[in-house]
Amino acid sequence: MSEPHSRTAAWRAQHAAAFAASLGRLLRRPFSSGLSLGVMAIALALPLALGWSLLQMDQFASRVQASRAIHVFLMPDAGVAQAERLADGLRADPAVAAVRVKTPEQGLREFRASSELANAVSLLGENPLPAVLVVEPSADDERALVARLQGLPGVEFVQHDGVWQRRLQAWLGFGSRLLILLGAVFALGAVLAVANNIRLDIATRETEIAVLQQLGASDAYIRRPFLYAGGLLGLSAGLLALAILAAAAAYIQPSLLDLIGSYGSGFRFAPVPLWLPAAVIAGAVLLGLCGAYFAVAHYLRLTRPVDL
Amino acid sequence: MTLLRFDGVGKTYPGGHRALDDMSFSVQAGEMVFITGHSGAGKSTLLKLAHLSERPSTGAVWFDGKNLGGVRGKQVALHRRRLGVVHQDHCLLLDRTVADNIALPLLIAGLAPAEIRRRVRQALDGLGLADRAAYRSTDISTGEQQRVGIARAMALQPALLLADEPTGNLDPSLAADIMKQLVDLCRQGTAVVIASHDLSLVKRMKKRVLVIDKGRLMDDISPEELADE
Repeated sequence: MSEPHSRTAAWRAQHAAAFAASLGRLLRRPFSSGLSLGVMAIALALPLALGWSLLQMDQFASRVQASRAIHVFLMPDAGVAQAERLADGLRADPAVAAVRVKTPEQGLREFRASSELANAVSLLGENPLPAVLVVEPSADDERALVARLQGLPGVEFVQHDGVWQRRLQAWLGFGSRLLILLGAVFALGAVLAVANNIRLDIATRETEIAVLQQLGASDAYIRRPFLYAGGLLGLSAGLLALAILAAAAAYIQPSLLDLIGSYGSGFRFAPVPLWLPAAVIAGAVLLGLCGAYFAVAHYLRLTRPVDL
Repeated sequence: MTLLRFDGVGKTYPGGHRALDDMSFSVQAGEMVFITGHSGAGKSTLLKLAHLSERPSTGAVWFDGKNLGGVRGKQVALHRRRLGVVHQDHCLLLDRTVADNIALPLLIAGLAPAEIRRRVRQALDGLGLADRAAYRSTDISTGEQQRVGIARAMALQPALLLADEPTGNLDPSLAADIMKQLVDLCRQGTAVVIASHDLSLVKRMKKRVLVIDKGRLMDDISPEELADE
């Protein structure tokens, strides 16, 4: 037997033949391939949708985090002068980065600008809003500062979003872990969907595999077309999952923006990072390859005589 | 040069059927050897042992100086790439064309595409299948399928060609043509071992004959002895 004339050309020929055979088989079994593709795409799209939601929540949370101000509402009878005195005292506190006094007039103007109840307030005749100290904490944990502010003379109420922010962060952390967990479970589902498709393909090609083994085909040679099939399924499923996600986001975004806009928020959706589609497709191809590899390896292990 | 050697080989299948018993012989490179015997004599088992489709229960099979008992895993595939095999049932891939079937072992062996095309064309011409190249294997006759199986084995230009009843489905003139091609292959250095119970063919070829019966080697007739007969 003569040596191969060109190893590269031979390698290319082997891969081209395996790729063409795999593509042909997938297209000849549209129903079976479509089922596997659909299952895999949905398994990828669900964690992707959760990830997208988390991304938007994170965007929202970072906007909230940017404003860590503590609002100190004074008694209605406390005047601006008392507010200024308290502010001066607080500026000496190392836990305070900045203090701003918001007079009742300023408060009313803001209230009128942002609330539909402005007319109702006008009917009251006099300004019901108290003076407010807007305190920017300097430390990460502002709970001690909040306690001190609550004990200041003339203070009626301290509004601090820190607890709410921490809860939001905790939810985001929980969501991230859930995403990892669901991602792993759905990834396993995707692998199993591909493995099942490849298993069915193997079942229809047992005679062919036996002939190839008789002719000296290695396990790698036999595995190759199935790996291509798994990779193609993964690629198609990744693209389909992205398309599902894009369609769902396009469908939901307008109504969600309307809803958020009705609360007077200037929130905008975070753009999807450019690397994400590439990562999704690469991950989907990898999952497809894994499913195919396991299915073929299992078959070869079962059918190989022990002493060969 | 000794290419294939059976050294006290015995084979007992699960269930206790003893297919071969203390079989010893050797085949030289470029030699053509017929193995004859009744059905169930052990001819196919002998070919399977050389092909590493089966392992001997006792003794050892040597190929090109290597004990096949030590050939395992990936080495089995590499061993088979040095062999051409013609099966009784052709073992063609029915959804592929005639040309694709012939190209299959060449592709597996990693030959360059241009060389594959050249050898396929040569094999198609040699076996009278040129006009059937693009036909699917299901769309040709049994005799043509047999020829495709032979063409596939010959195209590889193997070190050893194992053929199990290669002319069983062919008419005498075509069988003679194919035997001539196999003789030509021997001249290029390929050892050819043919299991056949077609005694008229065996006698006509005047090549070495191993006669086996109930798994035992009964006679080893040289071409000269056959010519004298």
